[in-house]
Amino acid sequence: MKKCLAAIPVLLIAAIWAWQFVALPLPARWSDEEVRLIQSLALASLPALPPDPSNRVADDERAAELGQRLYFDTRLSSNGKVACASCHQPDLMFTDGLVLAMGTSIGPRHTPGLVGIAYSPWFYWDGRKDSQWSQALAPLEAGVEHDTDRLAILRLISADPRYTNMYEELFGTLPSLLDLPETASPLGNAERQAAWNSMETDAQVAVSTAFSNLGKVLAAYQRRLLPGPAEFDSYAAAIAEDHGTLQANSLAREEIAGLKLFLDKAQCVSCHNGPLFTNHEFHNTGVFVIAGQLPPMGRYDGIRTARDDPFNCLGAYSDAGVTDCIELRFARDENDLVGAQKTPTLRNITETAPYMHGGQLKTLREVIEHYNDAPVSMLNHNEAKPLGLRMVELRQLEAFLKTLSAPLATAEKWLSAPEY
Amino acid sequence: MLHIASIGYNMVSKYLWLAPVLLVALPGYGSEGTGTADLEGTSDNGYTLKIFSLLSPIQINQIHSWQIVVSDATGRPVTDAEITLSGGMPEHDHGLPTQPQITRETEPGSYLLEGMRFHMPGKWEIVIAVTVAGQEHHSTIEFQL
Repeated sequence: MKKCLAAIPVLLIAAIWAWQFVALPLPARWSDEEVRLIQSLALASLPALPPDPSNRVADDERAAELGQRLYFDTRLSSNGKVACASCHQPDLMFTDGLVLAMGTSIGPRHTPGLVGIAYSPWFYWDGRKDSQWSQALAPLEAGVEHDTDRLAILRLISADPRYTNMYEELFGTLPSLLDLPETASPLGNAERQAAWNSMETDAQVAVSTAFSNLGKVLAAYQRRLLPGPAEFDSYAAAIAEDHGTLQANSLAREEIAGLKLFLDKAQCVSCHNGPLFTNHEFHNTGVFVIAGQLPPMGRYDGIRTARDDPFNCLGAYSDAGVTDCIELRFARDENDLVGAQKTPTLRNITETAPYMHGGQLKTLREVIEHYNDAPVSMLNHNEAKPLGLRMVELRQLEAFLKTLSAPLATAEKWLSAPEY
Repeated sequence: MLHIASIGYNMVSKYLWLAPVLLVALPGYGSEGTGTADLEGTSDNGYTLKIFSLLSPIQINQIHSWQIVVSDATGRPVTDAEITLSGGMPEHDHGLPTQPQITRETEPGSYLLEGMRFHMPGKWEIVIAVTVAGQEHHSTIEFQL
């Protein structure tokens, strides 16, 4: 009898442990609401690429061709080794596989992907840029990235006959650089700033206008980087006709169970929604700090920077009218945005490790465990709540996320450096 | 899917041919006042607030405008009001992703709200404050997206 009693706690522990690994049976059919939600995530629901009224060459193929050349050109850096493509590599879905970005030196953030990002109203993890062209300008002049400046870049464009021709066909004559410093910018080191301050206002405006045009051609190229249909999208198309959860020659039982968790118990769809699996918004999810850095202010600072940016939608270099700048004009800036970072897409997520704004989490499993735990945020509060997912459910969710990878929809010619 | 919104949209589509007739019948009261509102609320002093979304049905992740029509307990338009809107998702402890604002009163008692966006499916709550002659009145509207 004593032996039997002693066995009870052992059996109980064994049962609790075993429960962690028991997969629940799938329901035979999705509800109408679930079918609707799944369709909203499918690539078939992705609307046509929205126009960018702030960039009049956004959809001009000649601009994209010039942008593509600049994107892969390492001459746009102080050491001649860094191009946009150094960190945003086509083979890695336009990321770099590193924890923190490495330009001319190590940067403060993990490199975000570029695929489908033209649908976003905000750029950078903290949303400090409000257009793709304005974003493209910043790394060129950032000390840890390309570490060059607008005047040095315009000298390169002027010295390269192909670049000059391509530029002038789109924008007219390049500004004269005679009598201007070799290198100058209102940003960057003291030497560059002093040179910039020595220039007449008219010359500053002419140089900044031409520089903004280069951002616009880079954006014209990058907005063509779009995701292609993945296994999940075929499954979504199949269940639109027949609401049965199991479909022939489609997702496995474990992946479907992961999709169901994604929609309900794990609440991933709260932020990773729409056909790009992102709401393009900013959330504090309690990700631990980047080693050696203070907790970042995130979107709270990002929106303030965007408002002060001379290259924003309302600025002199934008092609948009005031009524086009609705996102910037009505952006929110309140305290709950402290520590909030942008929701990334989950498409091709298996190919863009590590994860989070500082590359803090190495694997998808670590990301899922992070959300399962929902730790207290060091700054402000974590919007996410603990999920109580069992071991088997963590595995199912990861299996589902692996069904979102696919080759890009972008034509092959855009995915490598053009031949010179 | 905002169910209230889809009903409103269907109603508007069905009776669209009536719009010119109603416009004539109700001079000074815009077409947005004639259909079924996408959302509706009542303030603590009995004002009726009818919300007509210019993106109907309302969808997540799309910035859009609302027309808010305010009338008093007798049905007369409430003019020259100062209107502010706040809101969020009580279950997620966060507010709206944008800071929408009234940019003009397009017709007596009818106000254009710009910069509205929702970024999550689920239960939303908005609070509309209507200030007239220094008195602030609130209306809270809950809905599911």
